Amino acid sequence: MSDPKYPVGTTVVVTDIQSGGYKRRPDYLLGAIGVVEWVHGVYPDLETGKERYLYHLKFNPADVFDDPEPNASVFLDLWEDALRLPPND
Amino acid sequence: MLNREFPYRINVGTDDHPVPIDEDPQARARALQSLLVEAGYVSTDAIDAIVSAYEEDIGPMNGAEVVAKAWTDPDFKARLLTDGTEAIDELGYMGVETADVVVVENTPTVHNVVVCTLCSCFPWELLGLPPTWYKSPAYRAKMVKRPRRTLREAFGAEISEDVEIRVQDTSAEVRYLVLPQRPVGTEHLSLDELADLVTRDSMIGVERMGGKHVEEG
Repeated sequence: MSDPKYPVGTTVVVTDIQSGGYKRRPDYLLGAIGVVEWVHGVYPDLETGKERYLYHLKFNPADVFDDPEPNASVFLDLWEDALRLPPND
Repeated sequence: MLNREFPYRINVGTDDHPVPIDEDPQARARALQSLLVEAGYVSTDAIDAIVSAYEEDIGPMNGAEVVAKAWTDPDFKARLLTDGTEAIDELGYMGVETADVVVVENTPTVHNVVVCTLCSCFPWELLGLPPTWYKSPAYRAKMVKRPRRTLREAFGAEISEDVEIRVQDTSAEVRYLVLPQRPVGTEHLSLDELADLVTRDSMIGVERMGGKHVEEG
């Protein structure tokens, strides 16, 4: 397995790619910009067995919700192929 | 083998008055269990044994022991925060769940809270069965969007504005356990006495341990 495509600190965008056999991306994070907090490692998809990097991503609620609460953040784990780099990056 | 075609039509209402989906999850679970037992995939005894083990034998005790050990053993705590699965496996608490465990630490300036917005992922091997409210659509929707308000209004946990709230929206591969702060004035307590202090809710993050006793900010 090659190195993770997105090292810690990389800014990524959550795409609408459905990358497994079941739903993994909550709707509220579609198109959201997150930062790689850490790389969990390589995991097999529970249904297909396909191995991919799993990332722990940090999101700013101000980018995700209307009327966000201050001093909070949201974290979610997503597969590498559900992410892309932001434009102009 | 089953002679019915998928999707199964479960007779729970008439076409004129269909039973709304999610109106009665217990009935749906019972129907699902009946089908699985009928099809020979599981036995009622096996389901009862698993539920009873998680309700009565496991509960949140395993998680509380992990927390108490982390409070008293700095080397264990360091291993726990670096590789939760391996450190918890040292204690023999990684059970039938295949998911890895990541432990997130509360500090005077950080409060973690765990939610599963898509379903109800939960560290069973550490905290037992998920509480009913954890699986409710209201908790799943509100905790991710209004964590400070939800902690205050639904759980009576007042988190100071200068404490960052980190909402961990958990999923299939990795389960999250909150490491609460050790309350001050507990230096004299034994490992077992410390474990008795640790609540399930504090390890989900809907309760903030230590906050009442620790000067914050």
